[in-house]
Amino acid sequence: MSAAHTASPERLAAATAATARQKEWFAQMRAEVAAGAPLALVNADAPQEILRAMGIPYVVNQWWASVVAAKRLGPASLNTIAGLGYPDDSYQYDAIGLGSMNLPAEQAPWGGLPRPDFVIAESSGDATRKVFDLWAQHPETEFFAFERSSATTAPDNWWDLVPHRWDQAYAADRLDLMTDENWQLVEFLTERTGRTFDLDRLAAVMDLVNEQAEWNRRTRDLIASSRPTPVSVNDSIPAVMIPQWHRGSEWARDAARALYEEVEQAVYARRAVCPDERVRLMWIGRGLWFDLGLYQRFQDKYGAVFVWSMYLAIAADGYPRYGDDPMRTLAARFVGFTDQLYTPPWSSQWYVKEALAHGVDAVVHLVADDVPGGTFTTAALEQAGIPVLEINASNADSRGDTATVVENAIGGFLERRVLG
Amino acid sequence: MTASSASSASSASARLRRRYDSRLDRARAAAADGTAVIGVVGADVPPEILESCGALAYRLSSVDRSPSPEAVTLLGGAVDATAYSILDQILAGDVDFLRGLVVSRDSQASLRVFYVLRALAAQGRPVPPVHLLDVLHLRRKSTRRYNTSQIAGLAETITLWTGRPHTLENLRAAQTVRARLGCRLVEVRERRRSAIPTVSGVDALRLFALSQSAEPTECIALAEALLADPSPIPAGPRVFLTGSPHDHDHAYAALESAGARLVGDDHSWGDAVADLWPVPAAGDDLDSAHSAIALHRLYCGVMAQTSGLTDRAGYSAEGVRRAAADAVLSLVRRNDPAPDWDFPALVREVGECVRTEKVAGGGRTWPDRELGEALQRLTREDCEVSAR
Repeated sequence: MSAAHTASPERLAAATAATARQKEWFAQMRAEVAAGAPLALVNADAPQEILRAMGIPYVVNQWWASVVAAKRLGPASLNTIAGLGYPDDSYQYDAIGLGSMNLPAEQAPWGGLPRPDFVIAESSGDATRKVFDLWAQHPETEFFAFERSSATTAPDNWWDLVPHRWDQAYAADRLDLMTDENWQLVEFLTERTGRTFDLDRLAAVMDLVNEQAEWNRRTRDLIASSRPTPVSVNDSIPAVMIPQWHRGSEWARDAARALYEEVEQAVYARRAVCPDERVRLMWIGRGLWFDLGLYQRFQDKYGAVFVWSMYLAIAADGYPRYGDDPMRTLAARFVGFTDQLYTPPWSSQWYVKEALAHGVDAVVHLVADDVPGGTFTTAALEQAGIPVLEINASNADSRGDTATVVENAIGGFLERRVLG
Repeated sequence: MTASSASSASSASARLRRRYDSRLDRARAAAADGTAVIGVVGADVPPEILESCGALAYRLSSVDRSPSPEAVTLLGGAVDATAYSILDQILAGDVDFLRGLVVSRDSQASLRVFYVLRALAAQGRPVPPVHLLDVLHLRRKSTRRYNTSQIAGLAETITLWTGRPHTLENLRAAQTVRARLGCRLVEVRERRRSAIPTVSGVDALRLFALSQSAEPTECIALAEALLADPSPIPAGPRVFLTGSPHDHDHAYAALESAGARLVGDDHSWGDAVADLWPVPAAGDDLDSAHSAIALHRLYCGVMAQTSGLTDRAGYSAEGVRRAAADAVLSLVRRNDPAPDWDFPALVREVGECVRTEKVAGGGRTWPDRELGEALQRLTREDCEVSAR
């Protein structure tokens, strides 16, 4: 007879360490910027590796939006946008960071984001570029835009192709375009900062990113095969994503390894998020930043545990890229990044693969206004025999009673379709 | 105005309207007669590429009927109403005469239509063959090179669909006809925006729509018929229309019936169409010709869904100035977010001398009453300039 699983209410050390490190880094970055260092604000789907290789500090827009939202300052930030005549009901995830710059200093999280010298984003939605243009209306900020080319190809099982055979997954003209744009960004930054770019340094950054991704893959695979789940998504999200935003540094690589080792130890020690695990849930969509406690609210009543979020899984499958030309290889990392998550059949095949690998019993699918393909993801999962609850909401905008609506919807779904 | 010119004007306008109203039936009839009719979704598909291969380009537009629940479900819950309608027509078999369908990425809604159709085709659903023309919009050499590659890929697909080779000679012939049409459309636009307009907004809209849905030679004749008559259209406040694209004539007809003169607009079914087809530049090979098309399209028109704020505000404001508009009306459909973001910058750009009004939240179109009230607000003596 095996030993009983034990609940462990303590946070993962990796999560605690990552959060502490982020606060320390943020304070240090603020000091460096105050002393004259340049700062970039960059969207998650743009190639931060170039900034890393050039030693330019950067903050990821979505991470900052998540901090603002977690502090329940999303509505106040959006109100400042609305006060200028702009809409507050579209592109909230892109706009919250911008709005947060108008918050009173004493309210701003973590002392506030310094005014960036550069904002860098892809032209993805109909208005993403417009939001970043607003950043650049400030005299101290310039905007470098990337194109967002579309998924003209539809390979099966992209996760098998993209690490080494990415030229079979993405059309050559897409790779050409983004490689060109990467070099344009280098020129843009070099002219404005006087810092130099070294291709060998970028190659070293790419090596570190790949190492980090391989540790994340091991962690993801270990969690997928463990019953009951040893790690809550509340812990895995910061433990994965904070290092993700420091991708290409030795600290980030080591943090990914430390997370793996801690999860391995947790499995060995029979740690369980919920010892009475009866329902394994998958959360598809962005994190519900203003109510992360939601993920653990169904454990006591239903034995339902969220075992999966996209953050660890995409860190495992979405980032590794190997190749001789670092700049083109970097382009291959980002040229189809949103395709992997949101464009059928790329996205739908991947979510089904992940659901089956993690043995999930049901899926909660948060569908944002600005992402396509939700219907096909839901249909593919249902076809695989996995019930899906679709919720249409913004992950960062806590106005109204979104949190209550989401919680009630999940409870009803569990009772009707999963446990009933 | 003489009796005969009034009659001519009325006749040209009525003929244009009949042709506009029957454009789907005429495209179907052309297909029945053996013409390769190729559907187009979005604004970025150069019809001269299709015509070079002997095809008729037919840009799909929304129709006045509620889309099926399936179309809504497939596209998702927050998509521009025009996309629902277009997908609904395709699923219902309304355009089953199409040899193929080219979707351009002129908006996220259009792109979703492509992704849905590709997924349905993979499932074996009977949908037309579909091709994505992923033309992008940053004004850079790298984007031009990408777009050139995309146009070449489009030509390969159209050649496969029609069986007629895409040659430089064929392309030049198609471009020459299109350039003649472009000249006529520029004249129509000038007459529409002149101090005493002799072309109404709704007639211009119908002609611009037909220019994307009918044979260009026929459109030249329709344009020349409109231009042949110098009769002024009824007086009224000069209004520039911005906001969401209008792929049907309802709002134009309603506003002009309510007394407005729609002297200009800035969407892909309107004045911008007149700039699409220049006289083709000399070149020795198809790649140069494709590159020239890519370059021209990169710089001729700044649409809400594919532009930055500053470029868009400058483009729209220039249209307002050229049309000498007294007022700007922004009609914004639900789930078409770009125009909402554009409006404050446009208000600043046109200045306080031009009254502005925004009507948001429209479905496929707006009720006549709502349009009439917006017009009243714009033209009231005590009207205040509004920023929202």
